Amino acid sequence: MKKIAIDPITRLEGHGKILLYLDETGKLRDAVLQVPELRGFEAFCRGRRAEEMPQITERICGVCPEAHHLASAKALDAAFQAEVPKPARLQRELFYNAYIFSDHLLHLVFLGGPDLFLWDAEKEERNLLGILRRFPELGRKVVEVRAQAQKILEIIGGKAIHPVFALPGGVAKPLTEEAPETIAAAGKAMVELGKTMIRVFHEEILPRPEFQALLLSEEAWLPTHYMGLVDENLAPNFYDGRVRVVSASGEEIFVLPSAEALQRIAEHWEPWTYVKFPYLVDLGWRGFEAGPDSGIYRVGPLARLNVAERMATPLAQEEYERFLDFFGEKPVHAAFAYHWARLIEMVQAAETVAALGADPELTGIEVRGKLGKPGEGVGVIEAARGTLFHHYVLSPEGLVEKVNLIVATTHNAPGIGLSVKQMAKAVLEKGEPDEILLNRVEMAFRAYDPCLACATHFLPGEMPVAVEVYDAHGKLVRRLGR
Amino acid sequence: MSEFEPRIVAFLCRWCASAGADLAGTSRLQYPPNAIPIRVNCSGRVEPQWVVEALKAGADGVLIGGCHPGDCHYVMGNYKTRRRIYLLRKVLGEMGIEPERVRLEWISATEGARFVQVMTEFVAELKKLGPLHGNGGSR
Amino acid sequence: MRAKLAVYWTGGCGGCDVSFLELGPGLLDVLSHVEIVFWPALVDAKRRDLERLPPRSIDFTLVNGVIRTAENKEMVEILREKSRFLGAYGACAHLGGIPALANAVNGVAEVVFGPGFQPAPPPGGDQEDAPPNLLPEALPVEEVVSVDFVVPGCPPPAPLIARFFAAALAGEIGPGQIFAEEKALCEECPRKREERRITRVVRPHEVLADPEKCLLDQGMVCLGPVTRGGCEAACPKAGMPCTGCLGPTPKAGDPAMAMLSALASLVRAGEEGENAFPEENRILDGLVDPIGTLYKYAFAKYARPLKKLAMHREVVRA
Ligand code: SF4
Ligand code: SF4
Ligand code: SF4
Ligand code: FES
Repeated sequence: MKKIAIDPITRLEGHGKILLYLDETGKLRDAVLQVPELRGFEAFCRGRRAEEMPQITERICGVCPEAHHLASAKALDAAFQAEVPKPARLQRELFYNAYIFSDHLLHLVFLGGPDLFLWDAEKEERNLLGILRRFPELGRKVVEVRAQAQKILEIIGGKAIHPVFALPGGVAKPLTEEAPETIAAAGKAMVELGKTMIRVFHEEILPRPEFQALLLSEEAWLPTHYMGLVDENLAPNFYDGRVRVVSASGEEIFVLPSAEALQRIAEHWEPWTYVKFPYLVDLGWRGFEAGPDSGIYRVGPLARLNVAERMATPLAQEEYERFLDFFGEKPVHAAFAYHWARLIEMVQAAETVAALGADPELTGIEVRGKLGKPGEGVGVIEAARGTLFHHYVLSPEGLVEKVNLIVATTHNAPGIGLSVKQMAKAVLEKGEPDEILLNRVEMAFRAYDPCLACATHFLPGEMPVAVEVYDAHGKLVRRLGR
Repeated sequence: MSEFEPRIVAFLCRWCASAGADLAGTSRLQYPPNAIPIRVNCSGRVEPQWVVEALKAGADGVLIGGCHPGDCHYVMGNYKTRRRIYLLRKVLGEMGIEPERVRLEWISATEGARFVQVMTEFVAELKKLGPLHGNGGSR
Repeated sequence: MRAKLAVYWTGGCGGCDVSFLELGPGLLDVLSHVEIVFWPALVDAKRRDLERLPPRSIDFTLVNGVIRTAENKEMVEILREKSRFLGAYGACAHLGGIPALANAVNGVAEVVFGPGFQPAPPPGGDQEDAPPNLLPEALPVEEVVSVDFVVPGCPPPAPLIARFFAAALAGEIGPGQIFAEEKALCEECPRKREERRITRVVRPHEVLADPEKCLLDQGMVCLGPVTRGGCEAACPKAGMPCTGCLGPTPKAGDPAMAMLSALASLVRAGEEGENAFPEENRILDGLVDPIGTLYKYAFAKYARPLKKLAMHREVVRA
C-alpha cells in the first residue's frame, strides 16, 4: 500500500496534514485530514474570571478573535441576565461586520483566494505575492482597504487582533465623537472594494470554463444539511439571530434560539485526530457519509446563504440572485461555491458597516446594562467560518466552572473530510499526481477556509471528567467540571 | 532512613527579629538549627519574589521576622509586608503549595524566647507537611 | 540579495501570523526586501522543502506559538538548524502565553477527550500517522532551542514588528534583544496617576471606568507597572487594564510577584495599623483567580518550577 502525505497543509489557519492511502492499483482507499494539535482551552478556562473569557477564548484563533470575543460576551450577557444598551450593541455589531469583511477579504486574497485567481500557477507563485504581481492595482487596493477595516476594529476594540472591549452587559467605554467620521470613510471604501471584487470575479474568473467546470464538478458536490443564523426576515445576520437548519433538500429542520439549538447537536470522535465531528441529534451519526439521512451538516458562508431566503442589504441581494441563477437550485451543494458566497457576504458586511456607522446612537454613553447574579449562559454568533457557540456555567463569585464551545470549523470537520476524500479520489484517477494536482486536494479543504486552531478544543454536553484539587490537608480547594 | 529535617530560609529584620535571634543565641537557648538566617534592613524590604526563589532553590519553608505593629523602624514597612505575604500565601495556595510554608512573625529584639518558640513550632509544622522537594532542591 | 525569511507556528492561534498584515501598506515594502522560504500560513512550501535546505541558510526565522506537541518540538529543532537567527515571536513563544495556562491543569487531553485517551493512526495507517503526543508541559521556545531575539506581545504590535524588520534588514540584531521598551507601560499611558491608594479591588465588569484616571488607582488590577511598554498602552486607552502581554520589564522579573508586591503596597483601609488588618485582608481578597490574572501570559516561563513542586500534592480524580 502506498501513502501520500501532504504535510503541512498550507494557506490556512492552524495545523493540519492530509494522508492519502492508495491501493496497489494507485486508486484511493482512504483519505483523512488530520489535525495534530490541541491546546485544551476547555481545561484551563475553568477557574478563570468570567469577564476575562472574551479575552482568553479569542486566543483560540487569531484570525477570528473577534468572533470568539463577542460570542463569549454574548454568553456572559446571558449568564448575567443583562440587557445590552443600544450604543453598546451598535458598537459590537458594527465592529463585528467590519471583522467579517476583513476576514473574508483575508481569505479571498491571502489564503484560499490564490486558488481562485492563480489556481493553475506553480506553487512559488500561488500566494499573496503572486496576486500582487498578477493584479498589482487590486492587490494594493485590498491592502489599503483592509487596513481601514482593521482601523475600525482598533477604534472600537482597542486592538485589532485580540480586542479587549467587550464585557458582560456591554462594552468598556463609549466611542469618541471623532470615531464616526473615520468609520464612515472606511465603510464607503469597503463597499467600493466589494463592488470592484464582484466585477473582477464576473469579468476574470467566472467566465473561465475551467473554473465553471470546477464549480460544478461532481467531486466538489456534497449534499449535506446546513446551519446558520437568520434575522426575523430570514436574511443572514452575523451578530445575532436564531439558528436555522435546513436539510439537503432545502426543508427547514428547525429554527431555534441558541440554547435550544445547542441541544440538537452531538459529537463523534476518532483517535486519529484532535478534532471532533458534530452531527444533528435528530438524524444521528451514520459514519462519514453525506446525504439526506446522514446527520452531517455544514456551516459557513455557503451554509448561511442556503439557510437564508434573502440577503439583508441591496448590493448583496443583487449578487445573491446572480448566484442562485447560476446554480439554478437551492441548497447549493458545491464546495467551491463557498468562495462566491464569501464574496456576497463581504458585500453585506460592508453595507452594514456603512449603515450602522451613520447611526447617531453609536456614540451614546450608555454602554453597560445592569448585571444580575452570575449563572449559566449560551452565546451564538456567525464567525466568518460558521456558527460559533459559547456556553458557560459560572460560580456565584463569577468564576468559570464549565465551558463548552462548538466552533465553526468543528461543525464543518465531517464535511471537509468528505470533500477532501472526493477530490483526492478524482485526482488519483488521473494517475500519479503532481504538485499542482495535489494542490487540488488542498483546494477542497481551503474552500471552507478552515481554522484548525479553532477546531480542536471543544466538547459539548457534560464534561466527561471532574477534576478535584485537594490541598495537602485533604481539603478540597478547587472543583472543576460537573 | 533519617528523619526529614526541613530547610528554612529566614529573612529577619535587623532592628528586631534578627536581634531577637542573636539574643536567643547569646542566652544559649536551644532551638532547631534548620534555618539559614538572612538579615534585612526592614521586613518591608522582603520581596515576594525572594520568598519564591528560596522555595524554588530548595527551602521547605520561609520565615519572615519583623517588628511588632507600631514598632517598625521605617514606620509602615511591616504593614506592607503583612499585606504582601497575605497575597503571596493566597497565590501559593492556588498553585497547590501549602501557604503554611511561608510564615510572618513579629519578634522584637528582646524576645529571644519567642524566636525560639517560633522556630520550634515552624520546624514541627514543616515536618508534618513533609518535604517540598522530592530530590532536595531543583537546582 | 534579499534576506531569507521563515515564519512558523507551533501551538499558537495564528494571530501572530496575521499580525504582519497590520503593517498595512508598509507590509508591501517589507515583502520586497525578503524572500519567504517557509511560512505555512502564506506560501505552499512543505516540510520536505524545509528539510532539504542547507544548515544556516535561512537568515531569520520567527517562531510563534507555545511548544505543545512532540511535533512542535521537532519542527523548531529543524528550523534552529537551518537558521542563522531564530526569534521568539509573540507571547506564546516568548513566555508560554495563554495556552500555557494549561500547565496549571493536569492531563489536558484527558480533560478534553475523557480518561485514557490515546492518539492512534487512522484505520490502516502506520503508527507514524497518529497525531503527535502532547508534551507533559507547554513550553516557551527557549526551553527547546536557543533563541536569539524576542518580538513580544499577543500579538506583537505593528510598531514593534516594524522595528524588528528595520533592525533585521540592517543586520543590527543584538544578542538576546527584546523588541519592546525596557521602561514600564505606565510611562506611555495617558491616564493620570494621582493619589496612589486602593480601597477596593474592582473587576472591569463591575464599574464603568473613569476615562481619565489611572485604572490601578481606580482599583483595577492593571499590570502596567510591571509590563514593558511598546503598545502605546492599547488596553488602558480602551478602558481595560493591561494584562501583561508584552512581558515583564527587566526590573520586574516574575510579573506576578512584582505586581502582587505593587498591589499590596497600594492597598489601604484607612489608618494603617493592627485595627486595619481585617479590612485590608478583605480588600486583598478582591483579587480573585490570582494565577490567571497575574500569570496570564507568563505562567510557563515563571511559575512552572513552583507548579512542578506542587504537582505531586494534587490528587486528580476522574
Ligand atoms: S502570542 Fe497571542 S497572537 Fe501570538 S500565537 Fe500566541 S495567542 Fe496567538
Ligand atoms: S492605567 Fe495601568 S498602565 Fe496606565 S498608568 Fe495606570 S497602572 Fe499604569
Ligand atoms: S496594554 Fe498590556 S495587555 Fe494590552 S497590548 Fe499593551 S502590553 Fe499587551
Ligand atoms: S524595621 Fe523591623 S519591620 Fe520595619
